[in-house]
Parts: sequence; C-alpha cells; structure tokens
Amino acid sequence: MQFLTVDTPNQTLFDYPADGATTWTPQVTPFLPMYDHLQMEREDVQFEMQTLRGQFRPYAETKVALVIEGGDGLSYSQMIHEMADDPQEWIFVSSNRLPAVLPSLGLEPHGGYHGLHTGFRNYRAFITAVGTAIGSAPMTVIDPPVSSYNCMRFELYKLIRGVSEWMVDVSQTPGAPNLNFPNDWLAGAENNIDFLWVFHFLFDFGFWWLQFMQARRKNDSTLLDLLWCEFVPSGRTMMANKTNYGFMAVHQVYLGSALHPDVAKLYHNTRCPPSPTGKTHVGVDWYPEELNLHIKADVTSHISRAQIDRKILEYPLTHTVHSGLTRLVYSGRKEPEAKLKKFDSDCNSVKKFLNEMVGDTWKKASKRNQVSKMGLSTRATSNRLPWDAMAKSMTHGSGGGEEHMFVWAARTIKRLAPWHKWQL
Amino acid sequence: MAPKSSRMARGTKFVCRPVKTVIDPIAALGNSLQRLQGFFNAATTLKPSPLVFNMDKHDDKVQLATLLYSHDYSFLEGRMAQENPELCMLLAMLTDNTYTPTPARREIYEIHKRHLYEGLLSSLYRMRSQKCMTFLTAALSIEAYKTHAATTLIDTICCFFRGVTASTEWVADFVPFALKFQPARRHAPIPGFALTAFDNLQIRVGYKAYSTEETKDTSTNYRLDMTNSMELGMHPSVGAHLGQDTLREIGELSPNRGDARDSSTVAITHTHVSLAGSIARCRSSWASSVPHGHFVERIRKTIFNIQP
Repeated sequence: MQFLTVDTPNQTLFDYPADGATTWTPQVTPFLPMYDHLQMEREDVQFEMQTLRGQFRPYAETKVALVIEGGDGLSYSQMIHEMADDPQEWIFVSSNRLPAVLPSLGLEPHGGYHGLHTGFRNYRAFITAVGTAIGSAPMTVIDPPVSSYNCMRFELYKLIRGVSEWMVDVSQTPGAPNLNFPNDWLAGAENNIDFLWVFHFLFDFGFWWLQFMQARRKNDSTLLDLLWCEFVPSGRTMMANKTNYGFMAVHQVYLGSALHPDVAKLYHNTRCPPSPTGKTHVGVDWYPEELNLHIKADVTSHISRAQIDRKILEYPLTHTVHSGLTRLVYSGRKEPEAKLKKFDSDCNSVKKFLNEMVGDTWKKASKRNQVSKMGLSTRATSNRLPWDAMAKSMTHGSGGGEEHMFVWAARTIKRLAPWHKWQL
Repeated sequence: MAPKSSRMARGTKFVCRPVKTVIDPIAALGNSLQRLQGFFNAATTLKPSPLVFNMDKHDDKVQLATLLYSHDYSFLEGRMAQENPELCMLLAMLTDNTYTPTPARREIYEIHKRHLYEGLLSSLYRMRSQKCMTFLTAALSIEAYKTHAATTLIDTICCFFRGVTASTEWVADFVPFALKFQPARRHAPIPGFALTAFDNLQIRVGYKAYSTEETKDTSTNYRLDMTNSMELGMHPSVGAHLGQDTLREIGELSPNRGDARDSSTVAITHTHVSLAGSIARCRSSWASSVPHGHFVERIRKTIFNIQP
C-alpha cells in the first residue's frame, strides 16, 4: 500500500509526484486542418500519416529521419495496423522517402479514461452500490462516457480513498495482517464475498489506476509498460470489453521493449510530454485536444473552413500573448496548489457503509459470508465475478474460445509486427 | 535669561555655536523654483520608452510583433514607470492613501502598484497620440480579440481608457502582420527527430433546435469534419544522446552483420532506414520475454489466484 506514496511530497495517495515538474514546455506549431478526414477509416488515417510525414519532407531540407505520430486510441489502432500491412511504407523506408514513422498512444486524457472505464465496467456493481449508499449520482452512471472523465476521476479518487482508509482502519484491529502482504489479506477476504469485492476493487483496479496516473505524471515509461501488461487481463473481460486496448497494450509493450536503444530512449522520453504549465506530464494526445478546445472556443459564429484556418494560423500568437499575460498577472502570487476539493465527509460515508456492510474489524470482515450484504447480485455477479472474469481472460479469448494469454499476446504481436524474427 | 543651573545653560556650555552663513533668500527661492520647474517639466513630458511603438514606422511595428512572441513578459513590469520617474512620483502623491500592507503582502502590493502605474502610463501614451502603441495595449488588444470581447465593450473602453485596448480594426490589421514574424523555434531541434500529434474534430454548423417534420430534408446544416495536427517542439535534452545522423544511420543494416532478421528484412539493403532492423538488433524480443519476464510476475501479482 505504501508503493504509491513513497515518492510523493506529502506521502499521500493523491499528491503529484515530486519529480513530475519540468522547467520547459513543448512548443506547439499547429498545421492546417485536414478536412473531411477523421479516424474511422483506414484510408483517412493513412492520409493523415502521410500528410504529417509530408511536413518533414524532403529529408535533404529538414534532416528529419524519424517522426513520432501520437494520437488517441482509434488513431493508434489504425496506425499500427497500417504499419503491419505495409511496413515498407512506414518503417522500412528508403533514404529518399524519409522520414520513418513511429506511433505513440496518447495516455492522457485517452489512456487514463480507458483505464478508468475498464475498472468502472468490471466493478460496476460495487461502485453503484457505494454510489447509491452515499448519494453520489455519478457513481451510479452505468457506462460513463469520455466527456464525463473529469467527474468520474473525482468520484474514483473519493472511492479509492474511502476504501483505503477503511482498510487501514481494519488493519489496526486485532488479528489483521500487515498491509504489505496482500496475499494474507486475500486469504481473509475470500471468506466474505463483500470483502472480496472491496479487496479486488482496490488492489486490482484502484491502485492500478492511481499508479498509472502517477507514472504518466512523471513520464515513467517503463512503469507504464508494466501497467499496460497488468491492464490486459482486466481489459479483456466480457464486462470491460476493451478489446482494442488489449492489442494496443501489447503493441506498446513491444515498442517499449524492442526498439533500438537510441530510438527507445527517444520514444520513452517523449511518451508523456510536459504539460503546458510544466507542472506535470500529460499524454501526447493532450495537445491536439487543447487545440480543438481552442478552435471550438474561438470559432463560434460564421463557422467556415477559412475561419478555422485563420484561427489555427493565429494560434501561436494568441496563445503566446495569453500565456505571457497570464504569467505576468499572476507573478508574485502564491502558486495554486493542485489540491482536490475536500471530500472528507464522502470518504467517511464510504467508510461507514463498508463498516456496516463488511465489518469494522478484521474479525467481522473475514467472517464467513457468501451472501452479499451490499446486494452485489446484479448481472455482474450472476455471470461472473470480475476477478474470475480476469482469470478466465488469462486462458480464454474475448470470443470465449480457449486461448492462453501468452499465446494470444504472441499471436497479436506477430500480426502487428510481421517483420520481427522471433527467438522462440 | 536662563539661570546658570538650568538645563539649557548646561547644554549650551559644550555646544559650539554654528557659524552663520549668509544665504541670499532670492537666489535660494530661484534655485528651488528652478528645481521645481525641472521636476514639473520632467513630469509633464512623456519620455520615449522601448515599450512604446510608433505605428507609422515599419521597424517599430516589426519590433512590437517580435516582442509579442516572447515567452516571458516580465520585461513589462515597471518599464514605462522607470522611464518616467517624476510623473510616477506625482501619481504616487495623487493616489497616496493610508493603507500600509502587512510584511507578508508587501511584495505583491508593490507588484500590483507597478502594474497600475504601467496601466496609467499606457493610457497617457495612447492619449498623446493614437499612433503610439504600448506593448501592454497591443497585448491586451490581442487577448480581447482572442476571447471575443464584445465590440461595444471594446468601443467603450477605447472611449474612456485608451490605454487598455486598441480598436478592433487595428487588431484586424495587426494580427496578420504579426504572424509573419513568428520566431522559428524556442528549443533547438533534436537531430533527425520530430514529434507530432493529431486528433479529429467535428463541428456542427447551422444546426437548429427548432427543426420540424416540415423542415426535414430541407435543412442546410452540416457537420464539418477535420483532423487537427501539430508539431511539438521538444527540449534538446530529450534527444541529447543522439548525434547528427544517429537516427538516419539506425537500421541501415547489412545482411552480413548477422543481425536477427527474417528473409524479408534481409532484402532491405543498407541504403534503407529500418526501425524494424533496429528492433531486431535489440537483445530481447517480445516472444522470448513473454513466458519468463516481468509480464507474468506482474500479472500473477495482480490476479493472485492465478497459477502459472
């Protein structure tokens, strides 16, 4: 339980990591929009990849030999399939057709959201039960959309903290094992179905997600790869249904571990660039999202292509002036702290609910009980418990057929990196 | 006369009487008046400032445009006040009050005061001539343009506080001009490398909430689909390990070098840049690491009841 707090300034779960800030921020140079092209069709993404690469051609002039193209999940999925289908075009690039292209998956907001969404789907019964008990409407949302990401993040913080504090309280009661030994906790939790839900929610999902956020905030790319590995079994369950993120996770781990050391260093260094404020790191998808926000805010009437083009061309000037004035006006003032809105009472409500439903001592919590007091007998439990579903996803494919995870991972990466000679 | 034992008598015993100097009162008054005159002359003349630009001069316009692209605007702080100390002294007297900031707030109080003087001076420069454009006014005008400040509001501000923002016409002329002077790069380029990002955007144009059955199939609304993209200029430290041609040379593998590549890869000659070749050069491969590496370990840790 301490693994998340050792590198944060105040040793709490929700602090920004101490080494997440940078002294520089990326310089954004927007290109003109590619109209009538989205990411749904492969041809569209192909066109976008070519256009982006075209910005750095010819090599003789730009001297750019490698372009990393970052995007959201759909873009990444299309890009890696395009590369697998035509590696000669994107990876085995002749010197007169440089630069080569390497894809990068945006980890915030898109990666973070899909991680959260996975957990919300897998543990929906538990989250809804707590949300109903403490009167949190967002927690009872069946399937949170990406537009509610910030709201759901906040709810998840609340829930993780409430459940963690409850576990800490229980750990201080007689007979409770040390929190550093999760297997002992699991053994106790297996006696009580409600306790088991709580335990798996926190260890399999809550802590995974918090650690994912922390790793992204300090661009700990190696840790991110490890976390993507852990993501795969939970993402491949029937409930989560994150099939695309499954193979994309495998592909990311492949890139993270198999690139040439010089390219790998570049890839890992740029995986989560510094945020516009330099206080943390964000996904490479953050910046296009910000530009889109800027366009939507600036082009509000007489919308036309010419108007959008003009606003994008003006972006470097208007954005520089805006940030220059903002910094000047707020100079000398106390730095705003990245602090969550207080939710102590909500956390207490979560703890109270768990005390009533699971027990306020280790003895009560680990007492044999196979009928859920929380009423976790919804579709999730009648089908398969989340942790059982994850276990099943280790040995079965998303279609239900028997296929071990490793076989699937090997098959996936062979399909996505057909150029690679495997040392089996 | 004071008694000898008095305090005054005791005190005067040891004090040397100052030597009387003869001062010509007329000359002294003249001197004071002269200094006063000098002060008022200085206070009533707005001095040229590097942050005030003549919009009739092309060079000044270029300088203003270039300066607006600065990453840090701290040079603005108190700059016009430094050029006009006498006027600021006068303004300080005019606006003096009894407020004394606490030690904790003194620094921020001083900063705010300097900002207020800059605002006042900006208005004065702009009042003197509309051709004079201060940096502050130009920046605020662009900010007003960016945030879609209402035209009526801008016109009202221009009427009463000319130093705050210039007219919308000026901004419409100046912004396209300034775009030509965008600095190339803030960070030195990383040899051979560029980072880009893209994402889609859909804007609904002309959608109306009052569509009816009658207006069905006759609507002129449409959806504007686009993909926006950009280059993210990264700090050179990100690619500090790279030489000028490192990325070009990576993957230029010859089949004779014994690299682990399949037959299709071997067909690629050394004139090709091949990341895949680079991948193959790496000591570990995914397939070999899957059954033995940390992947299993972590998954086992995550799903405790799974046995390998």
